[in-house]
Amino acid sequence: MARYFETQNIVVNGIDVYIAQKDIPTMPEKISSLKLQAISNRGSQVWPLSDLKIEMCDLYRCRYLVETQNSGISTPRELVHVSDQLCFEALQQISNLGFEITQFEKLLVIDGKKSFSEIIDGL
Amino acid sequence: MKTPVCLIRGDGIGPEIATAVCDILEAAGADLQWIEIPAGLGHFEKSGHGIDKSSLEKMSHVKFTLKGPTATPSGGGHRSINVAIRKALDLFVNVRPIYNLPGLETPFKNINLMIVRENIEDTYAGIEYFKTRDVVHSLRISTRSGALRTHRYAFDMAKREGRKKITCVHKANIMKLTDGLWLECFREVAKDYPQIQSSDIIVDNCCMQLVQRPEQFDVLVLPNLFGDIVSDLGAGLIGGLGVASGANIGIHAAVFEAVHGTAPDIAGQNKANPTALLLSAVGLLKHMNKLSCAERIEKALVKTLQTSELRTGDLKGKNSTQGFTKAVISNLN
Repeated sequence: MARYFETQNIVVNGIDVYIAQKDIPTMPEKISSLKLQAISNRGSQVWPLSDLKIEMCDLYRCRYLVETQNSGISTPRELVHVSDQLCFEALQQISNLGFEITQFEKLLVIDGKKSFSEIIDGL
Repeated sequence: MKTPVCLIRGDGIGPEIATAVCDILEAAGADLQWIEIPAGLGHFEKSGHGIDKSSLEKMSHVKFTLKGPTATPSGGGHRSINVAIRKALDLFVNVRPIYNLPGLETPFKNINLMIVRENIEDTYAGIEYFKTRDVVHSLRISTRSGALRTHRYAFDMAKREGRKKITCVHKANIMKLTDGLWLECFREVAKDYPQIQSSDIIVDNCCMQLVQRPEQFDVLVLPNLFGDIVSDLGAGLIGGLGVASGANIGIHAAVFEAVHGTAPDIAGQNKANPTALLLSAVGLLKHMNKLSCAERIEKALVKTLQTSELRTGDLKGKNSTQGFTKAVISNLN
């Protein structure tokens, strides 16, 4: 049986993993084919590091996107689907490193269009 | 020695009202050194960024900024420049003074209200996900630290300005956890200020009360989205966005801005009203403790607005931007 997203032309382009801790987590920059793109706190990018000082709360959003051979990060034109198996392997690896995961979100591309808000580095 | 202040002239009518305000401040002896910061749609079209990172760092270093209106590039992926500045500089409160300006006819009299809005969190964190083709989730963020510092700012401001009452606005009857935390933090902070009367009100009731008996409120403190809406409602009570000033305040920096738009339909025609940006500049001078200069400008502005023919077209006058500017300068004592 085809999975629901396949029937809807929806591709999972990556995942956001929410980590609870006091300071910016030192996340693995690569997990299998997933590459760490950014970490944000209350919607503001905090990694890669900015010189600007902001007050942070103890919940960080870590965005992993699919890395492809050609372009580095998967783009809507060159989509690679993140399977549930890969999602759960990534979560397991992160958990095994001792991080407290509170939530994860699939980042969807619907009809070739990114369907999640971007992490913008203040610009 | 002149005090350095960053200046964002902005888009549309921004440059002409910024020139007007700079001229008035110069004539009033504000003794400021303007550091021009390119930002807005015009800058985006040249550079691909609404504002550069180096500019944000400069604004953080200089600490004070006066900002004209900026347009946000249309299309996906472009965050509002205002939101970008607030987040990058951690300007955690937005303050909007709402009071009657003499000479302007409005439905209500005796309004003297400060609106303090949390400026970083709530749905403005900009975190949204399509969950399926037909379902989108938006994350509403409320943190204890964000609520505590906003409430503390509101109480400190009330104490400093000799205000008597603070009303916490919320929707905790429905959003029991996010607004529940907001309200809990308000009550915690209120205990430290027994001389200030504190109460709370549901946001819908607050809106109704504001358009019936606005004079009953002294200071309102609101989460981001409610604050955005209610502060424009407040501006409407006193004559509209053309006379409403605003300030975004953080630990390391402050940005004072006109809250109206760029009015591209009248841009470059010498018709725009610089009052809102001028009042924002007055707020900036007060923040910098240049109180006598701020007071001189405020009095000159009020005197100018009291003469209907000296006002600009949006306030039922016929004056030009430059004519209005000259009138304010000539009314400086």
